Amino acid sequence: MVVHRWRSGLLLLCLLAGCNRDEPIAVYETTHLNRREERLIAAIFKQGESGIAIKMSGPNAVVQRHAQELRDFVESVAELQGVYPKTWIQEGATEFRMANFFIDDPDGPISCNIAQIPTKPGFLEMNIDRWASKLTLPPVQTPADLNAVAKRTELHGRDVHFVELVGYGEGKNPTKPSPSFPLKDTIPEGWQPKFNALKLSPQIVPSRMFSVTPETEVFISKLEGDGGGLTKNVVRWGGQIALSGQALLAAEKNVRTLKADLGAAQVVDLFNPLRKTGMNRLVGVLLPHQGSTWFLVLKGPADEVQEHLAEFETYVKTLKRG
Amino acid sequence: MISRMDQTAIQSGPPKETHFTATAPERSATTWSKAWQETWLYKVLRVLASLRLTVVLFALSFLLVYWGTLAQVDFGINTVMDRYFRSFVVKIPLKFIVSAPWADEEKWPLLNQIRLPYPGGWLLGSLLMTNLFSAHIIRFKRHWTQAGIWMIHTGIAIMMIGEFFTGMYASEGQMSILEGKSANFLQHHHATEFVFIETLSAEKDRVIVVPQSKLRTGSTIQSSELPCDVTVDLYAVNAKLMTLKNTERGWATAGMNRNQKLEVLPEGSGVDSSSKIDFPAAQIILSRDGKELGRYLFWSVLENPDWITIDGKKYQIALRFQRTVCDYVIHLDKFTHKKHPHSEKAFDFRSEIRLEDRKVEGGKERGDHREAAIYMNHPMRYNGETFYQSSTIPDGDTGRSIGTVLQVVRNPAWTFPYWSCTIAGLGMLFHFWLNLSRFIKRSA
Amino acid sequence: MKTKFSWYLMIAAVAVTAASILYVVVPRGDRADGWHWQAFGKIPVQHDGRVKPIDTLARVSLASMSRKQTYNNIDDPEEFGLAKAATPQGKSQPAVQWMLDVLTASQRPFRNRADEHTKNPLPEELGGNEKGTIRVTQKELEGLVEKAQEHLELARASTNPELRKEIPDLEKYVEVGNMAVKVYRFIPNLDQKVIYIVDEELRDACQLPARPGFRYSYRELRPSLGRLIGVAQEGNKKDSHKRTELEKKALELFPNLKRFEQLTADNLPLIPPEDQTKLWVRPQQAEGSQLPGLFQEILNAYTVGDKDAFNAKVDQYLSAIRELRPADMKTIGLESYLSNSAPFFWGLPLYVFVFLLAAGSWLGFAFPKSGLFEGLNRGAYWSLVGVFVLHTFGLLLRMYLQGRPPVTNLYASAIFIGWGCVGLCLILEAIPFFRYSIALAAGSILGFSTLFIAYYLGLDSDTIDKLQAVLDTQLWLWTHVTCITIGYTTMFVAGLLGVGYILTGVFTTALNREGLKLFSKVIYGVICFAMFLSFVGTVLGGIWADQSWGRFWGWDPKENGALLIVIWVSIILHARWAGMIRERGLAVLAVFGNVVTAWSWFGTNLLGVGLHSYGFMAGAFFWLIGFGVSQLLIMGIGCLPLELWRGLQPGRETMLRKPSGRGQLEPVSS
Repeated sequence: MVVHRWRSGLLLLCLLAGCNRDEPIAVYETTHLNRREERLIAAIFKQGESGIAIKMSGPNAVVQRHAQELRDFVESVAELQGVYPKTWIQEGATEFRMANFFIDDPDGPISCNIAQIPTKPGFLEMNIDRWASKLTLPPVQTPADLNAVAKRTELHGRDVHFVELVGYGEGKNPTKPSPSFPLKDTIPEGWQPKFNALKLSPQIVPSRMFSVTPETEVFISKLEGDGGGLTKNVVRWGGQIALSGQALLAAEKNVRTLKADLGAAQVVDLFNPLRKTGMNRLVGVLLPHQGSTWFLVLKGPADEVQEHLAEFETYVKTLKRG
Repeated sequence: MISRMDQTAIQSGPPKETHFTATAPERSATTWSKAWQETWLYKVLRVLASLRLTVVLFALSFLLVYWGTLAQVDFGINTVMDRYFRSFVVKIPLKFIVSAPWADEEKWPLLNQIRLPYPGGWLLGSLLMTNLFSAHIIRFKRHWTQAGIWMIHTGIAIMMIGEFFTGMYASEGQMSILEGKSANFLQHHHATEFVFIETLSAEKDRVIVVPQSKLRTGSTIQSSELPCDVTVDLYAVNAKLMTLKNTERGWATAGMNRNQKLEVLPEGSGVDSSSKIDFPAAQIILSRDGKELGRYLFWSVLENPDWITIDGKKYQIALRFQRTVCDYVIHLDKFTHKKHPHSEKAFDFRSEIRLEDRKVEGGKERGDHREAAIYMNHPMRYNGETFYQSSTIPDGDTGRSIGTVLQVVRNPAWTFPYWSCTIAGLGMLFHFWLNLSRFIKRSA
Repeated sequence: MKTKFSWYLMIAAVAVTAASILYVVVPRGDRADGWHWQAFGKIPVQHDGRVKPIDTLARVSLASMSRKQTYNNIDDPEEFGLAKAATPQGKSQPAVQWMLDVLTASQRPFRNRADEHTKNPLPEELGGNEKGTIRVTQKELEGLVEKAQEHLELARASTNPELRKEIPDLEKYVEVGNMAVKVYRFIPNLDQKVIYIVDEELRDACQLPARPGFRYSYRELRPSLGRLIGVAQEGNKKDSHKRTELEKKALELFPNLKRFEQLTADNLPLIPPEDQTKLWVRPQQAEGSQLPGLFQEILNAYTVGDKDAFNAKVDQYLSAIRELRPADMKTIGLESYLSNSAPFFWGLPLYVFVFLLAAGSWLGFAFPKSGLFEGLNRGAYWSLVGVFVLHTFGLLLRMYLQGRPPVTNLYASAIFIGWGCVGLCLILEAIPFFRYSIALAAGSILGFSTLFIAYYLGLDSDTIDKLQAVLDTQLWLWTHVTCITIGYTTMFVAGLLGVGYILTGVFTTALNREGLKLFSKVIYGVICFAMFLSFVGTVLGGIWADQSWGRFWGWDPKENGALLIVIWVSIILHARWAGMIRERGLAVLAVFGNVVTAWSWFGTNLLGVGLHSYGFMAGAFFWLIGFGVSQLLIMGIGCLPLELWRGLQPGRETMLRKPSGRGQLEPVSS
């Protein structure tokens, strides 16, 4: 403000003297109050027509500490699995992001997110430039610049570019999300939380996925009201293991009731004997609770499902209000 | 006044020249005053003190204010203020004079192109002031019954002087702060600057500023303080960038706007029609020892700077709105944006801030700390500056408010209107009370 | 009083006024059809920032679409699938009943003409028939479509050839049915002719026929909606004043359509939460409350035309909610009373009545001995006092309901300016030597015109609305806004007296030189008062601006408007003191004060035409110009050579005597 008062004074003086004002070139040092050393690690690969960017950023030291978790996650996604560490908390998707993860750390939390990006020519450089500008780094101008920050690797048959940038940024610490999964659960030993890498599109939470074995998974979702009712969902689930009309009608008749802590649940057990291998059995649970319905599904090869059925039912029974 | 009214009668034809016979008070004809009345100064003042001149000046001001209002259909308030009210002469387009502010340039070219010169605010203001002072020297009685008039006129004079000082000395800027973050600089939307920024550390930058007054089309700025020479090929007060079509070749040879071209827009009509801010742009050639380093296109709207490496040092380069670094830091603890229930109407904007004064005085920081809530109609005043709740920073994805924009005003004359209206208001009360009591006495 | 005749006249006039006022203020019952519409109207809903009676929501919604607060049913209820209780064809119904028609639309069978949204008519399985009308309700249709969907999925999953054969048919049902469901869920009551489109160009663009009342249904608009959206989008890209008329009109239309789309029972936040600080919720979100069920029963009773059940359920609902929110229900009751008794609306004819009395009293100058003047003058005076009391009553009630100073929006400013003008004129008429009925006439004209303006402004939006954050200050609303509005008031009174001066002086001999001189003194006094108020009001505005934006004066249109008034009054006063004008000049300049004030009040808002202006404000531009021209004409008349002023002819100086000792003016026999 001092500069300004002085400048106005000069203006008046010049006005009176009738001369042109001529301000000098100023050189000064500024303090950036919010800037800190930050690191960004990201993986970019193509998925069909569009591209996928998985990015983790935050204070340099913290990101370095979690770098391996990110690499493992990227590898799992590339393998179409998407298993992530139990310490990560998945948040809801937005228009631009398929998923956000909140990663807590004693030195302040960081975030990791998965976004769909357009893949027009030069998209790799464009994204790097965008990230670089947030870290007070110059844009990529030559191939040498690009090689310095991006490393190409092959993961499960995909070309994945790992980008690593270190600069000064004003990133904000993510706030701890309110639990997007509103129920309290006890995760059985061996279940791993999972991001639906098969379906790389914005994923609606509240929902949870677990990888029980590489081939068997648990999927949980919630719909308002009765979610379409039993018949509709039996038909839908039947479709997932290619089960047809008559068998479904029979299965619908064999619905049993499971007493869970949240109320009575309906359990449907579907099996397609024509499928010899792979996913041929599905156990679906409808659990009405407070005006909406939870859908819990365990699906996989029949013997694996059988092996984990008790575990699954215990999980359903012990779900509690959050 | 009432007594004068009684002398008047309805008459046909123009009224007689009365401003001295009817209104000049009778003075005792001492030799001193006679001698005074002989001087040329008195004669000049007598002309200047004319009440008819007052009326004419009022009429001129009336029209200026009216046209200055209409002009805001086309121009932003700052442009209008500078051209109409804070100027000596203003050229007014015919369309405002005929009260047709919506007349299109294409349909009514003449209404837009013909501009008539007219006295601006400062000229009328100073004439009115002269008129007022002369009248008080020459004409007004120094008698207690006239105290009301004296007070009213003193008040008005203070108000006009205050407006003059405000126009000359007041400065305002915006401070944008995200919730949980701090800020220590103001941005001024009425001026730009061209900067080289060298990053020194996470906290420190070295900034080299070329002020807007040097950025004239065709000028070359050379200085030992600059890392290179700056030649301004074109400076546009208001412009926008357009992406080049396939066949077009751009002017710029370097930087991120290589595939853009600059389109100059008329001043004041702004890209953003609601706020009507000008967005300057410039075509700038950077060179070193006569060797061209690159031709760059800059636009004040863009957030990300260009980069250039000179002598192994990396600089960010940008044309940006003028910034002032403050000697205090404001930290935004919490920002609230409440709406009325089931409505989009804002009910409360509130910034809860902490101010930390880091001005170094006598070798150590002043170290004042202050916590305050700034909200609508509740500004914070600190050390000659006033902080107002101005607007919010919406989140790009969700539209939720994630930060505040404070308007920071320094106006050394801010108390003038308060003095002025107190004095003038009391004067009016006194004067009207005096006349009313006379009127009632007469009627009784 | 001069004669018995005067007494009779006065008593008769006052009696008429008093009876009318009583009619207005005593709560009026419902229409004599046995339905408790007013009681239903008291059901509270939280909308646009506050808890209000559903009656207010109905009135505001209906008025903003159809420019009227009642609905005129021009269709045959049977053919158009209206409720059983709907008003017969050609009759008008209160806004709440219209609201009930809208809310119950999804429960009634509706028409679906095949040509309108799909080439395929709804199959019989889904309730369709050959004529293209459907005899199912929206809810039933949704159920049917769902069933068809399940059927289809079963068939698709099945291997049974019989089942699989049905797949193509089922697919078609589902597609057509889903489309119909979507359309009808989106727009309640397609056939109500409520959307007011008076503009010919817009009507042509929608291919709508001209029809008395110019009100059209959503169904009639549907075919041209696509094109209109295009026109509106084109207009939206441009600067507001560069839009074509059609673009402006199209842009004005869409908020109304959107308002219509949002009016469904599912969308209304009707249910108060237990926690007072939380938002009210929509019926289906309410947990453990009996209210949603009760509300549905009210709607059901309306749909089947069961009057007694309707009345009983409404009472039950009201007593249930009264227990939950006693304080809210008290103000709701008052607001419902205010809108049903409508003191400002009934003020209109009453002001006309007062004007007629005042004008009639002037006939008394022709019959000086009859006592006609005294009778009607006194009658008009006390009648105006009565209407003023009614006006005050409404004003105070509004202030109480809003919990705010008198002026918070343009509507309120009209009400308040009218109130101030009438009050000031009553004071002027009480000045002994100014008892000519002129102030009465001026007061009633100003009262009428401001309430008339208020009536049209009131059609645009809720008049007791919540304030933007920056206006949320009792202090400045009380001081600055009130002061500046009284400033407008005095300017208008001075201006109208100026008009009175000119017209009386030029065309009549009612006032002679002396009378006109007194008249001029009154104008002068009012102008001085206006000077004081406008100056103080403007300065207070500056201080407010300094407090909230950091600048005392910003030269923005509204501030400039106020400044123009101050400068104009300064011109008048200084010209007067300079001897440049005298009595006549004062009156002429005072008349121009009307133009300046109207500009300051309305004109500055019009500079932003297109951004926030609907309906009345767009038309206001032409009214404003018309008003300005009329004032200039009167000023022109005032500038006629004095030889042409009948009131100043020599030998015509004896119509009125000088004020007598008692200060009363008496016509003199010639």
